[in-house]
Amino acid sequence: MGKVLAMRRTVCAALCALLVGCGNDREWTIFDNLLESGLPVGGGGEAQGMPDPRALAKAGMAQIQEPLMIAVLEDREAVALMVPFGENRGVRTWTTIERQTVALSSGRVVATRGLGNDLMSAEGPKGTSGRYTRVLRTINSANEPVEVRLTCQATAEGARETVSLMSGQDVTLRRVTENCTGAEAPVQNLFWFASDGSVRQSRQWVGPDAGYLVLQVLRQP
Amino acid sequence: MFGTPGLIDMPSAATYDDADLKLTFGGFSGQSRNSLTFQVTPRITGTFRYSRLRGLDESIDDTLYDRSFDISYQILTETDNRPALAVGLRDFIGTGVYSSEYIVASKSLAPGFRVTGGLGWGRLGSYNGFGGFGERPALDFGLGGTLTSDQWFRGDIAPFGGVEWAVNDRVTLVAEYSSDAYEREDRLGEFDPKSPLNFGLSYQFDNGTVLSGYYLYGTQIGASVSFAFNPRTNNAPTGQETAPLPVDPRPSRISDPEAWRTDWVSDGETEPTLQPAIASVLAKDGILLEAMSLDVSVARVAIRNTRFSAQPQAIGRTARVLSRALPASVERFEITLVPIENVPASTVVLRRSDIEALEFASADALLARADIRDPKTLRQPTSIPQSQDLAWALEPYITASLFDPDAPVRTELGLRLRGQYAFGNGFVASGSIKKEIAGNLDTSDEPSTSELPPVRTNAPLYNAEGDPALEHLTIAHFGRPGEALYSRVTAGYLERMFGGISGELLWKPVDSRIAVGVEANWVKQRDFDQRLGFQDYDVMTGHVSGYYELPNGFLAQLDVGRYLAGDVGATATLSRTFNNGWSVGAYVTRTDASFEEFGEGSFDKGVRLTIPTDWFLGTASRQTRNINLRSLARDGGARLEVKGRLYDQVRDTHSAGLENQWERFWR
Repeated sequence: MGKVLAMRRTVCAALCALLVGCGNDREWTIFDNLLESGLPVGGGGEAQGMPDPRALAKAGMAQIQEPLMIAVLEDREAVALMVPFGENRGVRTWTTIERQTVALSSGRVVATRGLGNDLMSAEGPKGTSGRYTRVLRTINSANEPVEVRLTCQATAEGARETVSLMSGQDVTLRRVTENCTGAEAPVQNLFWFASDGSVRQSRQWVGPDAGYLVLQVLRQP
Repeated sequence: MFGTPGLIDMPSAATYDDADLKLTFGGFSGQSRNSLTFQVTPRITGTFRYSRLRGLDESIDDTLYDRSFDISYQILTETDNRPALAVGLRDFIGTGVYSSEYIVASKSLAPGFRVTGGLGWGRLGSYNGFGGFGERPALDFGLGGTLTSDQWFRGDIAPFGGVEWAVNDRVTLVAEYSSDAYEREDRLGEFDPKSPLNFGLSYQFDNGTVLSGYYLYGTQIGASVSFAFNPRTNNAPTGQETAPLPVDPRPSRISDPEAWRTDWVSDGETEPTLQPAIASVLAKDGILLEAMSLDVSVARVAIRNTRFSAQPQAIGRTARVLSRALPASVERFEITLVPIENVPASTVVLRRSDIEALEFASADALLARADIRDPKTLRQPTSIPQSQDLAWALEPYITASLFDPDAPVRTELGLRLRGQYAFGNGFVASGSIKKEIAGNLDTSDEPSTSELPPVRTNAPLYNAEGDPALEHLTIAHFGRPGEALYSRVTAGYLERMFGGISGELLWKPVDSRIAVGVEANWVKQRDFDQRLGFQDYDVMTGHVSGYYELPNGFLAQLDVGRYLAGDVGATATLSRTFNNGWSVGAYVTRTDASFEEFGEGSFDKGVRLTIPTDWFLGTASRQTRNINLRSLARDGGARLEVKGRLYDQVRDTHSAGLENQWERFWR
């Protein structure tokens, strides 16, 4: 994908004369925005070798005293720590240090920002019983909303499993698997519930470009 | 090879995807064809072509450089039971070298295997034709550029056809039977077709680029490469800007009654403290806080969006910041967009309760509850003196001039120093100087031979002598004389060839599809060296313009008036603007300058492309690149190029523009 992007830039540059200069009226240059840490923005750029999530989690737990979550974007092999940023009507927004955000409602991702081709909004029932529809909206580059309608069914694994968190702690959680159709490929979301009903860990599909996001709450809010 | 959807030389009834733009470069043996094809609507395909035909200019025995336009319409789409059917005109408005008309049908007989058959007139009726409807009048090339409608579908008709076979995702094989006898090329000895059969092989890359090779007419090898763009899709991910601040909902009155007190409004402290804090947070998102007034329950702010290509995104970010900063008693936000100095163009009225309730809903839920008004009908906030009024930049530039018969590509590389200073109260000074470093733009310096006053055809002299050149130096005033009214007065060196005074008044209600503008200018022609001097020629020009916004982003515009050479007439423009800021448009100008006076091309016509920078970079930007492909720059139908014309500046702040891009509100 990086090569495609580079080629398109070359062709467009030839046609459209991109400029670099100086002054106080300067536009951003294309080189400004490659984020150094945090989750690499999608589409272009090389995936850096992923830092070890466990080491990152342990360091985070030691240095940050706030509630803490670790996030992994599978397709881009990227990992980052997130802290709470805001809360509105039960939806909590978490942010990385690079100001990329994920909004969670009862453990479900309902929005992302700053990842590129973000999930603008997601609608669906809160619970996981029976068959239900979830609608995910992203924006395409024509500024048009793109809707993905998923038909989902959740099944709970009966037994509890012991999950070893990246921070080293062990917790007992109950897994629920959600299988959805309606996207280009079948979607499988996984949720691990704690005994208080909160989602401690999850693997969720957040859009056709971003793919799967794995979230694990290291220190609960 | 013609750039249009088709076989090789022959067309087919297929179309590209809606809004596809294809740039094709191809050729064989002394003929090169370069075209830009745009799928205007799912059924209408338009093409602008620039061709080089060696040995075809009989008078000079030199190479003929030819511009032509094609259009085709798909009457029937393909279904299981019937073929696609299309009708088309090739080169319907050029010098007529490729003049032909056709009707064609295409059908997929099996996945990846498509058969095409059709009938052609004109050039496409030249091989093995049979008598048709009436006589085709001989092409009077004349000055070219006129609609050759008395020829359409007249004269010999000939059949053509072919098959396309997509071997796999990437490779396609084509075979066709051509009805083009290449009579003129054969007669002038350049090319001797031996067979009507052509064969081709195409290879398609991931990004839509296609590379093709051909064996043509039994004697020639040809090749072409084409690049595909679509304003509606893109490979660069959207939204690489950092995340916005979350909305901060107010506590309930019961849990925190203190927060809902209203005496902050008169304490003389709260507003002066909040204002710089809000301004500095907004500035991080490239939003300038131009004015602010706080009341117990209403906050009025005026903002200038310098970063996001979609105005609703700036409004959304402002609403979020206000929700975090303002005391709980403020329930209504009136956010005014100020695209140009002193010109508040629209006010979006939002309720804070809706912002809090709909932060994670889809954007149209909030649009339904938003009110878009003309700022002149509402109380306006108090202006905040802006500290930084001088904006300047020193940057390199590249200019290309294409399609000059003597040297199809001329370029210039240089340095430009530009600046803008806002005095306040709507007065803005602006200037730009350029200095060439390298290039061949100035190597042609033939004076104009035009019969009309040489208002544009002396461009080569301007290119040659203007080094360094004062491109423009103006002082302008922008204002809002009344409800739905916008005004502009600009004086100084308005553009590189003319200086003087230009005034404009635009009537455009916020929620109307219709707008009317009037512009009047008095200008004098500048010296070729583009310093401070003038030549003798001066002229009064002006236009009355009507604008009508059609659905799907189409805009029809008609300008009627007097042009720079003193000729009187009208320009009609039809453009399609996409929600992301891409725009493709075509225009035609007819004036009382006769075809002879106008010169080659007969009248001015062209295609204009606007490409938003953030479309291919992915990072936030309000910049756009404009590309103007015109048939020939002559003196008839020439308009003054003054900066800051009002319609484009206010368009994306009004209802239709905001609604088209509202999806970006919460980003």
